[in-house]
Amino acid sequence: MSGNTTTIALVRHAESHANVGHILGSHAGCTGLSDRGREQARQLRAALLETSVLSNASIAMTSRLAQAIETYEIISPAVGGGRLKAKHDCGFCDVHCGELDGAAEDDLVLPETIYSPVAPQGESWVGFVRRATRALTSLALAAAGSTAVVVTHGGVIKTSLRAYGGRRYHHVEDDIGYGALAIWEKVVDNEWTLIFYGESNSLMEGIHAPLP
Amino acid sequence: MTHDLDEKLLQRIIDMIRKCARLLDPGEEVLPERPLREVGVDSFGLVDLLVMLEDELDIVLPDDLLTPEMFESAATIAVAVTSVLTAG
Repeated sequence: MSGNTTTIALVRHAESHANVGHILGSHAGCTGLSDRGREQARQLRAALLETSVLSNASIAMTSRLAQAIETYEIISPAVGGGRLKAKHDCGFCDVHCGELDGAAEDDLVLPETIYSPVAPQGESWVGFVRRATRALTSLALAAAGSTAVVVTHGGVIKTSLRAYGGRRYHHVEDDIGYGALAIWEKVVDNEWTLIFYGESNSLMEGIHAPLP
Repeated sequence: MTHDLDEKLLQRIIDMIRKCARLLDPGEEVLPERPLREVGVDSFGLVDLLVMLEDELDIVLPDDLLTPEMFESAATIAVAVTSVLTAG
């Protein structure tokens, strides 16, 4: 998977304290992984080592949230020969919650429209998808001909279905779980293909192209 | 409303809308006031359009401009884009 092939693996962070406590965890509210999350990340690392899927990665990135940074720290021995330091890019963060960062999820009132911010100083759905689309597009350019891995969030991975897949993957509606991943591949100027979308234990069954 | 708008800009916006619309037949006309929802621009299509507008026109549309009213039609988008172009 190199040379004429671009491969981008988008890993969803493992379970965090914020997930368990139903906290809106952005830059301040996210305090890293739960015990179960660390175990999920270790399972992903084992699957990646077993399959060598990301052993030739040359780019590693995470969002700026602790849950993503910690997930990468755990899986990094299986990425790029274990020598790849990740860069942290806010473009791959989940929706920025503004003044609700660190508040209980119950405090969130669904915004009136997709243009309305989730909270004062927070992002709207449109703003979030625009930012994630731009981050994914920039990554695709930077990673051309190589393999990149990004530890990010469910919303960014959902956005990739549109940003990379156009309308071909509109039927993929299920969120992938914590510590799961989506792997995109593009050969020369062909379209992006989603070659894997699922949990780490399914990696052992092999990379295939089940979708579309 | 559209007579004050730059016709070339309006046409470029309509061309971009065509790329994001799911319900347009080839050759079907898009009038400046035609609602985007009628031509099948869904929420993700709307973000595609937003990114396309910013890239092709080399502008950044500030968050406070992004409203349902702005994305009503090609004409309303052209008004917003013109305001950014003239302010910049």
